[in-house]
Amino acid sequence: MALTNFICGTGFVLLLTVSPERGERQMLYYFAGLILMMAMSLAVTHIHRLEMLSALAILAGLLLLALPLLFGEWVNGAKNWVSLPGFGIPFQPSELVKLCLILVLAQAFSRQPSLRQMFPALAFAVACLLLLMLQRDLGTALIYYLTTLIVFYAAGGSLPLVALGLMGGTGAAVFGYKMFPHVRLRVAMWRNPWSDPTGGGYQIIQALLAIGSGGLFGVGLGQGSPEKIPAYDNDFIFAVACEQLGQVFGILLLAVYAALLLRGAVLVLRARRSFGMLLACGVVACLGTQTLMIAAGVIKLIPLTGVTMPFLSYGGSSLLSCMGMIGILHGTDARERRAIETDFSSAGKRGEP
Amino acid sequence: MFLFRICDGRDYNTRKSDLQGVFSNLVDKLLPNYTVILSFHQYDDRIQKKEIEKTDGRRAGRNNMNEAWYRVCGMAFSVFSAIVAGLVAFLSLRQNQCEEKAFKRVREDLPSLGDVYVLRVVSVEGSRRISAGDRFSVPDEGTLGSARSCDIVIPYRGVHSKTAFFWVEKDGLHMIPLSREGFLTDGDRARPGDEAILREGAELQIGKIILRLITAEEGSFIPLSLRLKHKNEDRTKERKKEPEANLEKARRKEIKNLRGKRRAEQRNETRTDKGKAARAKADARRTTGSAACGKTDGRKNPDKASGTPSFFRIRSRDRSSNRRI
Repeated sequence: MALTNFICGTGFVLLLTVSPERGERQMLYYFAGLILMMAMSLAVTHIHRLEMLSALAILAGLLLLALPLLFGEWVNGAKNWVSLPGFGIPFQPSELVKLCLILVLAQAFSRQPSLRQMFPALAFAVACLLLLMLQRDLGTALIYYLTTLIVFYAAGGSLPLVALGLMGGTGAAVFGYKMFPHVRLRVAMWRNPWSDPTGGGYQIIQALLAIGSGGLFGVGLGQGSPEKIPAYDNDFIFAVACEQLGQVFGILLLAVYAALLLRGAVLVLRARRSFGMLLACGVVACLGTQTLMIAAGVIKLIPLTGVTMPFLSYGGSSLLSCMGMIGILHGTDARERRAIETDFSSAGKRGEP
Repeated sequence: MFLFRICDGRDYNTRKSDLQGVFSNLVDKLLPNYTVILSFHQYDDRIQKKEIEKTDGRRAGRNNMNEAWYRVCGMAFSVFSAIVAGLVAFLSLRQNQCEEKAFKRVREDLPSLGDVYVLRVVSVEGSRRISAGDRFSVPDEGTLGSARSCDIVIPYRGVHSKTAFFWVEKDGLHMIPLSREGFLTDGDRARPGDEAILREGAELQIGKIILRLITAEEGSFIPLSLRLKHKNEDRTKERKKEPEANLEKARRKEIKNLRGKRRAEQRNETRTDKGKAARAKADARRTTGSAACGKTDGRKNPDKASGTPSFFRIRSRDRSSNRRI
């Protein structure tokens, strides 16, 4: 929780310097996220009839993902936003459906089921991917795909099937490259952003210049020109952090992310039940792939994917889903501790002379 | 010029978004017909500073001072945040290590931690690797079979590579067959699709091997919390005994040292006595003149005359007289 709070606090400070209203709104989202975190933690700890919850999660997930296609608008080439009626607050359903996906996969893949028994969960994952591709939200689709593959592998799925999944993903990537022009543009700009410095390559060039101009210890909080980077408050907040607070801080921030993922990995290794292990594995896979994708995209290691930096970027949906995932980790830990105590207390009653 | 007078009294370090908003509102209210073409993205800070200096030099000086302090504070904050981030990452990794060590210590003290049940082999036919009495620890959840990837590996030819999936609950050990043949529990066959519940003492037959389910520490099982409490009490008792044990050790060491010193002194005394005797003999021989007859000279080879081995020759050097005895 300390690691999460540190990253959230850094996000608040940066957002307040670049845009005070957004910083204040992000604080409100944080408090909402705390409530969701507690709710998820309690749900994972106390709910034992997971089949029912999993079925509800599948229905809710598919419904939420269909909403933008029915009622959403095209924003920046993607149709993944929906406004809450009455409130007018926009939110991204694909962020919240991540929690549903992790729950469904963990429940379906636990206890060594056969492929037939895994089929509903796999079908749900494929349906989510298709809906996201229709929305043109390919970055989130990639996160969903990698999370499903990692959880399937961790559940003891056969290696040939995992290899088949990888090949399928590669094929889908090639298909996406051929079909979607903006994917081709992103790959071209990743290879050489200077070929179009005022058009497609402007964003990545400004980000690189910002990181470079920050130097080791940054230009100072509130200094620099972060507003010159398009989407500086959500996708490229990491570049803003490196500009203002320095590259050393950027590296240490990534180390904090790594420490957070390591804590999750420890839970995965110590889990005594496969359901808890797969829940924690799903959360670590989701957060890890998202962090890796955006951090590597900002520094031009891989093509940009248009996902947010967990806990750091401005965005209510993103922050809520990340806090929900932390709640799942807390719940998993509590569940495992309770399992140990229950086992020993019940065995003690049986074994006492 | 008029526009710059409006923003003159304001803090120069105001954020650009706010300044732009305030500016446009003021201009709209005061000068509705005045068209301001001002783009803050292209606005040059240096030009604005010069204009402020022209209008009021003192205010410009104060604004420059504010700007300088603001920059110093910003730089200081960036160094501070880097230190805090480093501390947070370091402390969390250290916390991980401490937890790992604590977990290992608990595991050393309680090797059966988490393993409530044990499967004990009752009878087995024609196996060199397993014999009656062998025990297999049952984890909280896992697979049972002859494959090495299983959680309980039973290396017996009649056992399928993945025979069953099991998990522990309050009412006992639940098992689901994964192979076609299934297994027998107390004589009842369980096939794929069935769920068998084994309680303590139940017999499990897979092929020609029969196993019995027992608790991990039969007859003397103590709940974990109580065991840890006892362990902690024992540890505190041992720590209290340590000072007394240390005193005793120190006393024994002292006695040993004293004994050693006495022995060394005694050895030196005997050597000096022997040396004196040898000298006396040598002197006696000199006075009688037996050394001239070619007999061995006690002085030249005193140790040979006395019959002392060569090892002690080197050792028995009298440092005070600086000659071999």
